[in-house]
Amino acid sequence: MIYKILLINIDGLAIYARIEDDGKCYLTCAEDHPEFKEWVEAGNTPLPAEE
Amino acid sequence: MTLAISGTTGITLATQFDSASTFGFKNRFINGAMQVAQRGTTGTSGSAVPTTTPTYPSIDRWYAYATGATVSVAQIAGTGAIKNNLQVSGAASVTAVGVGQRIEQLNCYDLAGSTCTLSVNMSNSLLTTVTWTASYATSANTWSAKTTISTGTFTVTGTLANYTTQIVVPAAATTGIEILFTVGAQTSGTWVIGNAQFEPSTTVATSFDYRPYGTELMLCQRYYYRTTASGTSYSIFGTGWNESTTTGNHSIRFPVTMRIRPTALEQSNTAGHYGVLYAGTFIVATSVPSFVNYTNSDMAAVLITTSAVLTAGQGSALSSQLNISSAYLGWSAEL
Repeated sequence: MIYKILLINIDGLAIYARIEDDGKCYLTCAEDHPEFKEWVEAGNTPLPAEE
Repeated sequence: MTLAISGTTGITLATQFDSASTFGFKNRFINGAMQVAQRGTTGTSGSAVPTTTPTYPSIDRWYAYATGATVSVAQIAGTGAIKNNLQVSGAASVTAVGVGQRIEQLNCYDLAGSTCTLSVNMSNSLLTTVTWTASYATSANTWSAKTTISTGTFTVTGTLANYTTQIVVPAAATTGIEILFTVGAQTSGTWVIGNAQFEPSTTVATSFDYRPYGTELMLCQRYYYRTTASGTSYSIFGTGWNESTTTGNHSIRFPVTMRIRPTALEQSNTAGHYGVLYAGTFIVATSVPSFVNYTNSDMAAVLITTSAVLTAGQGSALSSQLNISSAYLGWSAEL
């Protein structure tokens, strides 16, 4: 499971997509989402947004 | 029950009627009867002992984890007067399984310094020992650290039966209480849990507190809300406007004020399940609906992307695809 930047809101804050191991995305979140914060605190870095 | 009539003190109803747990919200578990399952009737447990973010696989408010391998957690039919139970199905390589509920600080603050009674129906077709552990959060509703109140075991059988124990809640437990049931290597068979009750009581467990289903659903929706397409025609989730020729921004009011502002949006993983309805036309989405930071504890905002055919500034609705029942949107404010 990884996160990647989905878009940047007009407020300048990023929205992330959680990509499961099978490539599916069931969840998008803000950077203060607890599960995303735990993932980042574990040393992971979200992928950049697709061009 | 004793009825006493006195010329001095009036009418006194002793024992059951003046018990601390007799009236109003006596069961501090929400969905103890396992009837509400907004996420679906089956799901997969978390894969590790949770700290801040447990996995809620199926039945509302009940988290589940397993170590060694994940397990299936399902809402199953009960028997007799019991409509539903929670069932864990064992799996190869499993070394331990836990099912628990975290009670929000605001719903158990008054229990600090008192004796409570835990009662629950259980059966297990493989194992005979179920451990219960009561804990309180180190700070309000924050479970990254917790303090054990007490722990004990129930010796269970393959036949569903009721088990009770008393728990002395310390005065410091004003931050939220967690009750966790655990078993060991559930490598096969099933573990069934139902009619769980945690009540203020210094004597014995009282009868199970059945609340109206609508009330129980609303209690659950403070922690999780899912809206699912009807499967009939287009099913409107919310209304808003076309922010540009490719994006719609729509709002959905939660039926209950959520515990905290949700920070994520769940959906079905299929962009084609969703779209924008406006000017009598359905425009299918090109990516799945996305969380928007404007979301607060009363109202969600959802962003949806389409091909460049929308008219910016026009009003529109966020809808499911025609006759699709698998489209949903979900928000969590769980503990």
